[in-house]
Amino acid sequence: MNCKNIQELILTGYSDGEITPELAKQIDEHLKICPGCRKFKEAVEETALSPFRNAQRFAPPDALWEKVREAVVYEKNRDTDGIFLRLRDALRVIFNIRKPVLAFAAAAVVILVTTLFMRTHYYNEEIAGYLEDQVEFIAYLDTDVSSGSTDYMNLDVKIEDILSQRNFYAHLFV
Amino acid sequence: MENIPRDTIERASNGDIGAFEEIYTSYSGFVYNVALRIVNNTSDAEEVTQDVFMKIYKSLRNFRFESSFKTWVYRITANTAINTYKKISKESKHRGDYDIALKTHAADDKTEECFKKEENEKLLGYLLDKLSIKQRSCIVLREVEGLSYEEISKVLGININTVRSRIKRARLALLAYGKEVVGYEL
Ligand SMILES: [Zn+2]
Repeated sequence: MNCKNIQELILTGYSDGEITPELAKQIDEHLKICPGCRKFKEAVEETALSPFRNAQRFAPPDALWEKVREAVVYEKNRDTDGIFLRLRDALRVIFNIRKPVLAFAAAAVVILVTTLFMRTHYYNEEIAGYLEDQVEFIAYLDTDVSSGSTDYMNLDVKIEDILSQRNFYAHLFV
Repeated sequence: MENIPRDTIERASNGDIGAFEEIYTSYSGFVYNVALRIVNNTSDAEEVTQDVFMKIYKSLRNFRFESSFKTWVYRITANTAINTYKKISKESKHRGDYDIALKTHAADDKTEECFKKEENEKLLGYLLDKLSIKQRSCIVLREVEGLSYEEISKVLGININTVRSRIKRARLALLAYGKEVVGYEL
C-alpha cells in the first residue's frame, strides 16, 4: 500500500472502523514509519473528525411533543369526520337505486360496514373504499337492468325524485 | 436504539395517542438532532421534527413490517430534513445564523467547558455549511448518529460506495477549509 491508498483509508474506513482489523494494523504500522501520513491523520482528526465527535446532542424542546400531539389529534378527528362524509355519499347513491331489492342490498352493505367501523373504532381506507365499491356495484346493477329503455321523461322524474329524497335525508347527515 | 414493539406500532396506527407518544419518545432525539445538523438552525429543525412525526403518523397504517421500523423512521427523517434544507436554500433566505451555538449557553455562568462546547458548536456550524447537502447528510448520519456505511446506504437509498466517496469528499472539503483557517501545511 502506498501513501495515497493509506490516506484515502484514513479519510474513510480507517477512521470509521469500516475496515478489517488486519488492514487497520497494516496502516498503524505504516504510520509509525511515515511522518507524512502521520501528519495527514492528525489533520483529519483535528479538522474533520473531532468537531463532530465533540458535538453536543440536544433534547427536543418539551413544547414540541405538545405540538405534535395536537396535530395528531386533529388528524385523527379529521379521519373520523371523513368516514361520515363518505358514508353520507354512499347513502346518497342508494337513493338513486330504483329496484327495491338492490337498494336493500346496498343499505345492508352500508349497515354492515358501519357496524364494523363502530366496533373497531378504526378508520381505514380499505373499509371506506370497500363500502364505496360495493354500493357503486349494486347501483351499477340497477342501471344495467333498466338500460335499453332510456326514457328521458322518466329520467327527469327520477332525478326530481332523487333530489327530493336527498333533501329529506340530508337532514339526517348534515 | 431498540426497535419499537410491533404491538405499539399497531396501536399507534389505530389512533392510540399513548402508543404514538412511545414512538415519539424513542425517536424524537434522533429526528431532532439529525434535522438540527442538516438544516443547521433550531427553528427549522423543530419544524422538520413536527413534519416527520406527522408523516410517521399518517403512514403508520402502510408500514408493512418488512423493513426495520428504525430504518423507515430514519429514512423519513433524512428525506424531510434534506427537502427542507433545499427549500430554505432555494428561498435564498440563508439562515446560517449558527443559533445552535448561542442556544448552548445563554447564561453568564460560563465555565471553561461551556466555553469550549460553545466554540465547538460555532465551528461545527461553519463546517457543515462548507458541505454540499449530499455530503452533509452522509456525515451527519455517520458522525451525529454513528450509523455504519451500510445503514447510511439503506437510509439514503444509495450505494455503499457512494456513501464512502461522499464521506471522503466531505472530509477533504473540511481539511481544505481547516488548512485555509488554521494555516497548517500537509
Ligand atoms: Zn505514508
